[in-house]
Amino acid sequence: MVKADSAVWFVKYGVTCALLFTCCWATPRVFKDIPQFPPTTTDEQQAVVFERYFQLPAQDIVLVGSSLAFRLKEQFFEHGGVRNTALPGGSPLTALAIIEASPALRPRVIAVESNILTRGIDDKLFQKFKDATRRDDTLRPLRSLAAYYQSVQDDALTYDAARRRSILERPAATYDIELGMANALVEWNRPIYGEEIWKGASTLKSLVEKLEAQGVKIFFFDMPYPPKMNDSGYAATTREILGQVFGPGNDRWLKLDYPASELRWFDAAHLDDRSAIIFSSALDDAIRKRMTAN
Amino acid sequence: VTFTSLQFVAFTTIIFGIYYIPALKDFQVQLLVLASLFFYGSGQPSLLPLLVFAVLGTYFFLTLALQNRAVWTPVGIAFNLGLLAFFKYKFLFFDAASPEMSDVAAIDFLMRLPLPIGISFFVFHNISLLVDLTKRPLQKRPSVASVFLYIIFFPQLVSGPITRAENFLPQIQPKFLSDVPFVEATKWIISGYFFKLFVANNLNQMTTYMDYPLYETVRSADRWLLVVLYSYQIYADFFGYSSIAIGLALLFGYRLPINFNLPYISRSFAEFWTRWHISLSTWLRTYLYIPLGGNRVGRARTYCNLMIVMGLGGLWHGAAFSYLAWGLLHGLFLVAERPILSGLDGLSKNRMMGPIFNALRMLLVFACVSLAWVFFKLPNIDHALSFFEGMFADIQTANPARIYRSLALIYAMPVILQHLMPRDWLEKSRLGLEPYLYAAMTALMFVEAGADTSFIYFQF
Repeated sequence: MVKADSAVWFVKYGVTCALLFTCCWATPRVFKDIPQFPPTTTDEQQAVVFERYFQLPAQDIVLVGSSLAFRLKEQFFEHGGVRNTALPGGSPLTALAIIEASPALRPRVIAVESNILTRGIDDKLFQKFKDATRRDDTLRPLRSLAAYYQSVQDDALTYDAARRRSILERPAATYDIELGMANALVEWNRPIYGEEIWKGASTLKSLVEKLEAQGVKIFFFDMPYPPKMNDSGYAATTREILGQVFGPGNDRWLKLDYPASELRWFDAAHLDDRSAIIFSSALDDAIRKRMTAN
Repeated sequence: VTFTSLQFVAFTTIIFGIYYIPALKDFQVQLLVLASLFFYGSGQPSLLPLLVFAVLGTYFFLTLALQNRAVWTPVGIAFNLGLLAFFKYKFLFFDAASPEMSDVAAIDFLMRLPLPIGISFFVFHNISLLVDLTKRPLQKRPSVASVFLYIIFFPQLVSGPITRAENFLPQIQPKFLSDVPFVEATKWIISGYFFKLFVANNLNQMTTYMDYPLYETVRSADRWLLVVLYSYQIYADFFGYSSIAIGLALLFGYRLPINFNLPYISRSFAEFWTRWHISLSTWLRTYLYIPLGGNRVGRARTYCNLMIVMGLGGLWHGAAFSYLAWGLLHGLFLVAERPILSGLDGLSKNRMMGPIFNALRMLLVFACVSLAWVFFKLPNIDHALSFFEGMFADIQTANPARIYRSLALIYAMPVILQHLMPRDWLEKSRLGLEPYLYAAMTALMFVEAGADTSFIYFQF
C-alpha cells in the first residue's frame, strides 16, 4: 500500500495540481483580454477563423473562400463590417456548410470566392463548429506569456489606414515567380480535376440555394490569377463547370473594377499585401453597390 | 489504443484494478498476456495472428535449441530475421497498390499486409530469448505464458525499451500491491506524458515546416533552428514513451531498463550511444558487435564492425536509404573519433581549460547528432539533401514561413533544463520541491498540450 512518506508526497502533489488547474480555469473568467498566440499551423489558422466568426460581433458581410481570399484582411475593407472566413488550405464549401448549420448567426451577405472547388467540405472542421463552438476557457500560461511578448514585437504589423496608404503609395513590387508558376502550371494543366470540380460545384449550388432560401444574399467573385495561371486547365475548367451548374442568367457574379496591371502575386496564385488592398477595395465597392441596389 | 488516449488510461486502470485482486494472484501473468493481446489487437487486429505466430514460432525453436543450441538457435534467429525482413522491406520490391501481385490469393494477402506495429522491437526480444536462455546448458524451459509476457508485455510491446530475456524472466513472480513503488512510477509516468504532450507535440507543430514541400519556404537561419528543435522533439518523444513504459511496468511489478540518460551532454559519439536508446545500443553491442569480434580483432576490423553495426542499426529503423545513411553517418562519427578519443579525454581533464573544452565537445557532438536527425525527419534522401542545401544558401521568397522564437524557447526549455540542471538536484533539495514540480508538469501537459501526434518510434 502507499506508505506514509509517499502519502505526503501525493497530498502535496494533489493539492498543487488542484490549485494550478483552478487558476487556469478562473483566470480567463476574471481577466477578459488575455493575449492569444497567433496561429502557427494550418489547422490552428482554420480553427481561429471560425472561433473569430462565432465569438466576435456578427458582421453584415462574410467572405468565404480558400487561401486566395484569406489574403484579403478584414482591415483592407475600408467600410468595415466584413468577416473573412476564407480558409487557408481549405475551400468555400466548408465555411458555407458551417454557416448554414448555425442558424443563430446569419450574415446579410456572403461573398463566395469561386476559384477553388476541388476541396470538399472538411468534415473534421465542420463537426467541430457546426453547432457554434464555445470559447476555450482554460488559460495557457506560457503560451499567453509568449503571445504578450509577440504582440509587443508585432505591433507594427497592424493595418490601420495610415499603413494601408503607405503600402498603396509604394510602387508595385516584382517577384521572381516564374519557376514556381511553371511547376504549378504542370499540376494545374493535368486533366484530372473535372469530376472533383463538378462535385464541388454541385455542393456549392445546394448550399447556396439553402442559404438563399433563408434570406441570405449570395454573391460570387473570382480572385485574380497571374495571366498564365488564369489560362490554365484548372482555372478554365472551374469557370466552365460553374457556368454549367448555375446555368445562364446567374446574376450572383460581382462586377469588379480594379487596375489589373497593378496586381502582383508573391507566388503562383496569392496576391501580395498591396494588391490585396487594391482588390479588397474593389470587392468592397461591388458588394455595397449590390446591397444598396437590392 | 495509444498511450495518450483516454481509452488507454481506462484500459490500464481496469487491468491494474483486476491485477492485484488476491483471488486472482495465480493468474497475474495470464492476465497481463491477455491484456497485451487486447492492446495489440485493438490497434492492428489483422496482424494479431502474426504476433502470436512469431511468439509461438520462437517458443518452438527455443524448445529445440535448449536441446541442440548449435543448430536451432541460428534457425530461430533466422526465422525472426526473416519475419522482420519480409514485413519491413517487402515494399522495396512490391507495390501494395498494384491490383495483382501473383496468381495466388494467399501470397497477395501476405504481400498487402501493412508493417506490423512494434515488429522491430518484438523480433529483438525473440532473438534475445533464443540467445540468452540457451547460453548455459541445462537451462529450464520457461512456460509459454512467461515467454508471451516477456515478448508482448504491453508497456514495452510497441516501442521498447528492448529488455533482455535474462533480465526480465527472473522478474516473473507473484506481485503484491504493497511492493508497488507508487511515487517512483508516478514520476516516470508524469515525466513521460509531460515530455510527449507538452514538449514533443508542441515542437512538432513547428518542425512540421521541415516536411516537404513546406521547408522550401523556410529561411536558412530558421532551418538551423528547426534542426535543433527536431533534435529536442525526437528526444522528448522517445524519452516520453520510454518513461511512460517504465512507469507503467513498475505499477505491474516489473522494472524495465532505463533507455535515456541525458544524451545531449555527451562529449563523444561513443558516449552518446551509451546515453541514447540505451536498450537498442546494448542489444546491438551484445548480439551483433561482440559476436562480430568487437574491438578485439585489430583496428581495421573494429572500424569495419562499427560501420556494419551502425549501418544495420540504421536499416533496423526502416527500409529507406536515408535510414542507412543515418546509421553509416553515426558509424563514421564513431570511426573518426576512435583514434583521438583518449587524447581528447586527456585534454578534458585539464583543470583550467577542461570545462570549456568539454562544453565545446558537447556542442560539436550535439550539432553532428542533430544534423543527422534530418535523415529521420526526411526519409526521402533527395528531400533531406535539398533541406541541407537551404541551410547554407538562403532562399528567395516574399512570404517565408514564420518560426516563432518565443514558442521555440518555451517548448524546448524542459529538455534544456533537464540536461543542464545539476543531476539529482530535485531529489536532494531540502525544500522538497519535487511534488510541486511534478504538479506543475501535470498542469502544463493538460492546459498547454500540443496537437495530438503519434509517437515517432511507432513507425519503426
